[in-house]
Amino acid sequence: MQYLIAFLKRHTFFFLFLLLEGIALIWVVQHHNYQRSVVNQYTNQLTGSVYMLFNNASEYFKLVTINEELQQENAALRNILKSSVIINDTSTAKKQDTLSFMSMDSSYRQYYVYEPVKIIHNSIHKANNYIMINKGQKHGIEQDMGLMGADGIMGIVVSTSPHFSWAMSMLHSNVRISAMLKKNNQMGTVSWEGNDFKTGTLSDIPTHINVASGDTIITSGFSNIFPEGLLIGKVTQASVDKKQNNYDITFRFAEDFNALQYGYVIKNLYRKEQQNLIEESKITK
Amino acid sequence: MYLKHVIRFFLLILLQVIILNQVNLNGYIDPYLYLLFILLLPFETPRWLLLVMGFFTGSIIDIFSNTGGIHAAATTFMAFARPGVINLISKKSEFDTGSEPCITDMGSKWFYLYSLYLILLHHALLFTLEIFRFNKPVELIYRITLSALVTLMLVILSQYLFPKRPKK
Repeated sequence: MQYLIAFLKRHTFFFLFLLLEGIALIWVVQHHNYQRSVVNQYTNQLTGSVYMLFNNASEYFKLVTINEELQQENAALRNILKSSVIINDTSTAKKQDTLSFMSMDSSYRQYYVYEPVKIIHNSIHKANNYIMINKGQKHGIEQDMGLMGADGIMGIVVSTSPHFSWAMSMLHSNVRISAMLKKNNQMGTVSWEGNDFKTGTLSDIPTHINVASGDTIITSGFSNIFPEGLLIGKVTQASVDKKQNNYDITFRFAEDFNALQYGYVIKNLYRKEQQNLIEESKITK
Repeated sequence: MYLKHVIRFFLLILLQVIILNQVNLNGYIDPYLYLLFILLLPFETPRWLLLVMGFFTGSIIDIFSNTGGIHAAATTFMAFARPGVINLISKKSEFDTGSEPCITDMGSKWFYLYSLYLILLHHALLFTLEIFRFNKPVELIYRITLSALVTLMLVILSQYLFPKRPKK
């Protein structure tokens, strides 16, 4: 025992190193395995407050661009309002504006709700990138909700604290998003190879389908996270992988990940019901 | 004077988290200037304290950039290697009391070598852990080398911008 203590004392430096390095490596592995868990919910509050402070300062200089973007988005949304569209159906002709359309039509049921959020921290050049937003549990934000911007989808919420949340960016090695080609509804999976922040990969599209550069990729709506039809990006290159009989498709993200300012968290009001159904069908198998 | 190091610690962490983490050069280059703090700790720093400071500094960076332990691991490793690197590149085994591992006290050649070795060790472990899969060894080496060079340049630049004041 004495010898052991003497031995440990003599090599304190080395053993302390092993201890600390061990802790750090366990942390690395934990983080890698449970990226979708709430490991960092205790530190979110601290980091969030600091980022918020500096984001407020830097935002001041970007006000002009932000305003323009919001205005453009407003215009786009106005275009798809019910009141901007002529409806020939006589049964709906009475309902002139959107509000009455929403409140009176019994067949209308809210499925997704959008919560406006501000991006307060973002990275694009790591192997796994995260986005921090200024809302959390108090605003009803939960894990596995989608995050989108004015141009396209951004990521998925992975951890929340009372006032802040971290979302896994589309630029993350674990991202798998169910997507489809807009022109023919062919299903595929969107992921990120870690090359650069402008391009992603679409896989699982069989080769007998015609894919050309410029084709639009949208969400499929099968994941319970994103509604159908949100923009993801545009195909830039499609080559055939002969082994798998699939295309290797690279595409350009619609969202500019280098300039994220505002976004929306997408709440699926029926997610619990859908998840329960999936769980039940798993048990009965 | 511990105050100097405490202030330097906070300034470097803020600089790293608020500015340098947002900088993206060429998609491959991530400068990590925060490790200047470990580089400039005095020679007399006990070795155990060196390790603790390394772990602590790395952890703070990890918490802020949500990188889960990779900075803690790399910076602890760098702190562990520091005494060895100092022995390796120094001719004298004894230093003048009160001297610090900076350009003013040790000369530029010594400081370049010292920083280069430690930054390379740090970045090598950091980027290896970050990528976690070894399917792109060339890209990995490319990233390590480029980022280490930029970090080194910033470290050296900081030495000329804020030189240690000579003792009265």
